[in-house]
Amino acid sequence: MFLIHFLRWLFGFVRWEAEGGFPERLLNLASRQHIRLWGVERHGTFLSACCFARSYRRMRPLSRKSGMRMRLKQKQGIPFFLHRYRARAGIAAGLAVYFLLLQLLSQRIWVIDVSGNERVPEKAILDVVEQMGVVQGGDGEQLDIPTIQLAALQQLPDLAWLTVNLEGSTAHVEVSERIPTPELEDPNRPSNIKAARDGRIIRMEVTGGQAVAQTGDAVVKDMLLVSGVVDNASGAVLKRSRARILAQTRRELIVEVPLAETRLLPTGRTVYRPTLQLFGLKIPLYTDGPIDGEFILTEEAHPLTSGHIRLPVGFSDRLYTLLAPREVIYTEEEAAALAQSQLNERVRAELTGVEIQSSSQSERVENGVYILTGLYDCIEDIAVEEQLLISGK
Amino acid sequence: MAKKKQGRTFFPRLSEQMEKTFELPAGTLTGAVHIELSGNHRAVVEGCRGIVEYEEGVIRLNTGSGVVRFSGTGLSMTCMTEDSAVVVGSILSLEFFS
Repeated sequence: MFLIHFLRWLFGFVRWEAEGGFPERLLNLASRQHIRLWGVERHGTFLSACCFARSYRRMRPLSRKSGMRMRLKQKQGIPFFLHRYRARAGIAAGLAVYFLLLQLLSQRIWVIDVSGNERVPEKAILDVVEQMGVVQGGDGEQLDIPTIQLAALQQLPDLAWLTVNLEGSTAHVEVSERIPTPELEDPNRPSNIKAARDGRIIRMEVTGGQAVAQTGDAVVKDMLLVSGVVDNASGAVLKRSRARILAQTRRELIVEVPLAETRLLPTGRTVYRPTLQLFGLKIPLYTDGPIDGEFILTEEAHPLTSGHIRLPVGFSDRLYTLLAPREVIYTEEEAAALAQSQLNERVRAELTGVEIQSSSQSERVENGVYILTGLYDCIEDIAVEEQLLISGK
Repeated sequence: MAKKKQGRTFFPRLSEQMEKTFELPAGTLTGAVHIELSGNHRAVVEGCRGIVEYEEGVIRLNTGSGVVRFSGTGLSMTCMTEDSAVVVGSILSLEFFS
């Protein structure tokens, strides 16, 4: 019954009342004219009934034929509602535009969510899937998911699996990272051990191969220390050399700082350029042209979020810090401090794992350059394995 | 061209004979009126050809082969189409007149 009531309301219906004449004749005439009536009631000389709004006009001549006077009692339904507000066409137009936009926008991708990645940056994944149509404002129905999976995995070798699941206007890009397979060392690969740098051997721990140097020997860089060719009773056998060769070495680190140099430095002037991002559109909110000269660019995105979901509306800011060449002049004290800090950094980077027994520094100024030299007496492992290349293999 | 009217057949005896022979539901070929009663408060009349009388206490319907008379209190017709009518109210009696 609800459906019948709804359809009557949708098409619009009226309740009318008729008086006098011959009610039965009116009802018979109406039925012969295929006019559907319902809610027919008789109260004394009055007859009332309901019919569809469009049938009411046809009832008028029938009532005259049956000698009755008809009067409209009530109007209900959508057509009367719309007629009442016909002057406010803007509301109907707005509703139409709203539903149209809702229909159009709901078929597009507006939120892209990447999950499952730890080592591979989210931006790298987004850049790849963006080329294949998974982009804000893209048509989700046109996506060929299996092709995207194959192409994306080819471009992102660190991923083992990738898929795109569409849920309404959200594209969930789910990935699984590849676990790198460890490199297996071949224990039977023949190799020599050579010296990595000049020094004097103070201790040798040879666990594979045949030693050709002795403790106390002075060696130079690339000199053979342990050979992979081992002689035994049946002749020469190729083996893999393994050894730890501790030697006294001397390291020299030199740092140069010019007392006067030209460098690009911030001028103190910055240019701020905001951009409105609206459903995939990037609307610049600035009118000036391109920026000349050197600059440092800092970009920040401020998307509107709902919970943890980034919505396709927001701002992105670009801050250009302008640079200009400037001559920088250091005093000797300033240059010494700068050189010392640079030398310390180099020691940390190059002498890690090396035991420093003694050190000395010397400085001089030569051709407008402050030169700081550090000398270090060290004990370190100078063994470097080198594969034996055998022709024919 | 003459239009065939509801509830009227050209060969009543033949139609009746065929209904019996083929064990068809009564009225399929003869166009007899169907009245479905739900207790004493609702009656659906199919094959009705018009209203003869409509009062609160009496409703008489033309069925082609005769007249059906509903009597009772608070009678009304909730729905009416070209060939059917629904009578509701407290029905006390149902009579057939030829």
